[in-house]
Amino acid sequence: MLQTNKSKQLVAYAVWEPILRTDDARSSRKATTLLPDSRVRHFWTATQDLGELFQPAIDLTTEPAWDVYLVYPRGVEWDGQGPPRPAYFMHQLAGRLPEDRMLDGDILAERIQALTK
Amino acid sequence: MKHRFTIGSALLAIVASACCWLPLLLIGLGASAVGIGAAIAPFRPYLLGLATILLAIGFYVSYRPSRTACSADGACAVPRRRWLESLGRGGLWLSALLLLSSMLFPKYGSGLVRVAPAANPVETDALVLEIEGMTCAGCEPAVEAALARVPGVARVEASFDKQQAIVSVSRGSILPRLALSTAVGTLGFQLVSVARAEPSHELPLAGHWVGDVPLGEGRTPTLAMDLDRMGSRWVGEFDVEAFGVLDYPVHVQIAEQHVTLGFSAADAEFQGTLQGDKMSGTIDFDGRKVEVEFRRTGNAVFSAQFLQLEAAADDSTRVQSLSANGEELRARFNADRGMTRLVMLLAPS
Repeated sequence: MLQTNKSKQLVAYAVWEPILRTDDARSSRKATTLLPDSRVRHFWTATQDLGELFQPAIDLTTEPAWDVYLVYPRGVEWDGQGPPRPAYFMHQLAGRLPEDRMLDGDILAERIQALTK
Repeated sequence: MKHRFTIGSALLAIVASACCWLPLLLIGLGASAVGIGAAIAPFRPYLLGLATILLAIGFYVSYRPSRTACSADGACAVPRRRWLESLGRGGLWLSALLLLSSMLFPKYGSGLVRVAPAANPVETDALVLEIEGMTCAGCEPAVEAALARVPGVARVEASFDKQQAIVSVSRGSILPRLALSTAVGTLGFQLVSVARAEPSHELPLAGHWVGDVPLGEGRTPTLAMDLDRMGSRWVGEFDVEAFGVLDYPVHVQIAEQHVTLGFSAADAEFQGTLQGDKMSGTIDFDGRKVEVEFRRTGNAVFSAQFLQLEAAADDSTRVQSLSANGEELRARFNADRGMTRLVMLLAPS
């Protein structure tokens, strides 16, 4: 998606969380090589608290949010303790979030393209 | 007209050998060749051939009998400017010399510039760098100059024939492997792998190890791993080709002869004893234990990609740590309110 959309009006935040046993700060730094785009800012959080904070934003009830991709248009602000609901989102959590929102890079790219025009 | 042939052949001769001298020149100026030399190399024979043709034409035009009518006493219908002719012929011979030099540069060029050995040699480890892309012996000094600039490198010897470079590094130094890859990359070449040139007797665990793992039901895949010490840390990667597992990290702990190896990607752990070139023990697969014996078959060889990942792992500037409530992310999110934002929550593994 980042390769197809070169807009300078797009910024991405990759928030790396400790979900699996092997996840730690060191592995998060290695993982940054998967997203070498200069528009991506990388963060590491040592707990799953942030994932829990994002649960209400996408109506996820089973576990802290992870493997999710949330799109916010210009002007949206994060005012309260929890993040705002995204204009669109996709995920890789089969069975836990709507199937029609399973990650499809092309569709996600189209949605973002529409917002960055 | 003959001067055009002179100039043309001289320029072509210079360009034809650019694959060899250009990287050296750019490194000297602190710039990057970015593959320019390598891009020109395939055309070198054609450029040299064209330069030769132009030079031959230039010599013919210059030395052929003059068509200008002259009387016996030297008076000519069109005055001959002998000084200009001499200058032109001198230029031709200079171009011929330049062309010959360009043809021979790959042979002798590597002897012109060599990295001088350290004045006060210290104890060093030798690493073998497998490099792809060197097109002639003239590339050797450029490779040596680029690698010599990497912090911790004491001595470099590049070989076009072997497509490799031997790098001596201060023993125990934390050598940034990524810097080696970057240095080679600025010349348009690619660092393929890094390996110890000789076994380290101080690091009996270092090397390439192979063992068959009996999983039952007729399955006995081979597990191969490379272990070595980089600075104060052990680094390792393992492969199980039968399962398509390549270059996954190994976590190493060693206390005298007792070794613990963590294969976290496979959710397995080995505990055993090191005895020379053998390591015997058990692998625990989530509660199920199997006996395994690893044999050392050579020196550790790490792919450039693996080393880049290790270098990234050591780079603390790559990620910003967040507090539990994500206050820093919220601040960033709001600061970027004039843009479309994609928030990705991901697990590194």
